[in-house]
Amino acid sequence: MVAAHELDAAADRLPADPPADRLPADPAADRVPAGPAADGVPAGRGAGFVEAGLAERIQRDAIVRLRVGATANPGLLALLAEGRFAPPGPPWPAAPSDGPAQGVPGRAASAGGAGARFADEAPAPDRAEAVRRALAVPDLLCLVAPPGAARTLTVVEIVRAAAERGERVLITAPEPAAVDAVMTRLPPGPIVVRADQAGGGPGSVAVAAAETQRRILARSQAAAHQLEPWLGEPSPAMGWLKRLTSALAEAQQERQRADRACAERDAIAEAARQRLGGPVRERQRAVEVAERAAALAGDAVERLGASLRRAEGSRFGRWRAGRLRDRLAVATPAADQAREALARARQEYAEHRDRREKDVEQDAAVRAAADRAAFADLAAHRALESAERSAHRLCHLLDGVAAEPAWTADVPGLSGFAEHCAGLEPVLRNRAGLLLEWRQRAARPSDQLHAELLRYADVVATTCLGAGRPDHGDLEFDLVVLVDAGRTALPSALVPLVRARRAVLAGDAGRGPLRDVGAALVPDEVAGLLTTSVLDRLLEGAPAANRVRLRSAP
Amino acid sequence: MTEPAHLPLTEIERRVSALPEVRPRRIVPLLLPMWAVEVTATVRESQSYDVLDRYLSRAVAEGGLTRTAELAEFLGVEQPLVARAVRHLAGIGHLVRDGDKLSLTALGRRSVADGRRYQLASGRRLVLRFDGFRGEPVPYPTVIRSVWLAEPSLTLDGTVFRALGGRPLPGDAVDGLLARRDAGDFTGPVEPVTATTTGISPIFLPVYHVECDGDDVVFGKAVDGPDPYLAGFIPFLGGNRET
Repeated sequence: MVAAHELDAAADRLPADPPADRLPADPAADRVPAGPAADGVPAGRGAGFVEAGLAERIQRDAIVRLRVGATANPGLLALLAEGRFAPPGPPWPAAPSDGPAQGVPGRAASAGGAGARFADEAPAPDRAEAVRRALAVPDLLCLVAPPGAARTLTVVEIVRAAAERGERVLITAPEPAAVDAVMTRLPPGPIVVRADQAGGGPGSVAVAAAETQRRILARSQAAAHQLEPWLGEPSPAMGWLKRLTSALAEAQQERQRADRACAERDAIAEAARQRLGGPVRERQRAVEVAERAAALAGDAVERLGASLRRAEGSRFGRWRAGRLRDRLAVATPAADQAREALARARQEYAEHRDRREKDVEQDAAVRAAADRAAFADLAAHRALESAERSAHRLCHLLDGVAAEPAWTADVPGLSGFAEHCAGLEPVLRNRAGLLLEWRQRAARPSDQLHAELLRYADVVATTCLGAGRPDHGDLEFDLVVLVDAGRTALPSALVPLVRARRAVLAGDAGRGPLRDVGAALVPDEVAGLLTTSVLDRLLEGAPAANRVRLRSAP
Repeated sequence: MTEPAHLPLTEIERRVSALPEVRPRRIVPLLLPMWAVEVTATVRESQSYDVLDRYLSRAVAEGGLTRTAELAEFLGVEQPLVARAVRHLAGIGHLVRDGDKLSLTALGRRSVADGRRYQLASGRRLVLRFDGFRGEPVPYPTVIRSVWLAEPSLTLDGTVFRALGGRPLPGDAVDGLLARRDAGDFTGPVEPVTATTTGISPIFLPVYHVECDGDDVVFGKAVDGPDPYLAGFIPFLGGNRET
């Protein structure tokens, strides 16, 4: 394997020779069709071109990062120096033989364009296996793809699947053309940024930023529209909230006024009742007298009846019984008369009372008081209805903006709702203002978003050396897919490798030396670093789980 | 070529004579006693916000949005992108997670309030300067525009500067500086949050004390004319206090 000091020595050699990346590609080996981005790019001067001095610095920086352990994969040094691969992670579901890898939703199937084209081409079993292993491998997978083995399709599948499960992926290759070939075949969906594409070329950061800004404007349009009534001070929503609170205050005020008017009406009616109630009171007294008389007569009949029953049960009570019968014969009709008198008195009382109530109702003062009470009650109802209308309007404005609380159309229910809205209003006003500002910002062309896009995009694509540019210094990835790893020397492969937690090295193995070191006195290890590809170096010691070989097309 | 520690006396004479209503009696070249305190500090660095991280932080702070999905929907940005931006902000200590809810840390809140992205960096070595009379911190413009002498001796174009004696540095001088709300006025853009003192050494600041019939003035190197900060030391120089 390799030690860090040997890498240093290799880096020292780099300025003398062109970097391995810059060696002309073997057209027969790379079956990747040149995409539109590669067209018209002069060799060594187009996308991904890195000046010689900078290239040396970038590779040296990667070596320094490896030495001090500042790598996204903490086990990278052990992997490169000692061939120590990490133990396999949790098993990834086996790939079905007739579709994309299981667990990787086939988003492309529902997408148009390239995605639909991609979905139509069901991956062959070994491609599916390659995708499965690329997603499952904890540190590095060697993907050996001989000529005609659909390497690019497999890489595209790996990138898409990794991006779909939320991983940040770096697509890299020594030459821009290989990067372009993968990029142009990626299905729509993930945010893909070409990091080293100057200007506004296809896939460039500028284009991706413009597209992101366009999407921001489109996606936030509905929310901006919904929040618009909450914008400004005073806002329409605030106006409705004020109407609600003032209507509620008015309703409460009117209710109190109505209560007072009712009390006044009752008092005036009572006074009228007193004033007009002389005959009624007389009749009431007559009823009381008649009640007493009827009660006495009834008691007398009961007493005589009881005495008669006792006398008739006695051996010597015949005479006494006779007298009692006589008295009972007198008392019973008298009691009947008393009851009839009572009934008459009661009826007269009721008639006088009803007449008095009618007189009270007809009384001018009572009628005026009743009218005032009725009007006050109506006003209270109207104020409450106005509050309810405002509440409904606010509910309409809350639709899609915040959850509508349960409320009832009475004063306590509406008060609770108004309180809830008053608490919500400053937050929604802030949101509306912030969203307006955000959309204005998104509508303005700006390169301020570029750095963030590179930092947060789903997929970033660049050449090996481009990944180490100083302005990309802090970029990290979950997965790096190094295309053409069979033609990449370790020093330049290190540049993307130190920035990713996991890696897939895809390429053709055993292609022979990458360069001729000539007659220079170079130690074997250093010569090996410069002439052997990173894929060949790592494939040798890779466990079975960390390598997969694609079949060539028949 | 090293920078001269101060202007020559002739230049000061010229400047003093150009001042209206100043009647100088004599000009005294002095070396004011100061303290240089070396500290290892955790500093608050200030950077410009990028676009998304700024609006994301504001959406949490001002919009009361606390979940990644809410933030993504509100800003109209893809959720994975927002999730990564949230991770980045959490990584620099601006956001904390409580379950699936996000909230701003004190550093995040201050960043939003100031519109600057602050980041804490530990292990920074700084030199803080305090005056040798009251133990107060020296304003940052004076710190950076002055030449500080390690030895109490200076002869400039034949003019000998006399070194004054000072007082020991109060033990709580550094803590007092860190506790000040205007600490940045003394430390510059890299503001220490916590600091451990690693060394204290005396240093000297060359000044010209211009004794006048009225109020005295003091010329340092940091300001072209009379230095109002240095004028505060006139009572310690035996001159007339500036009114």
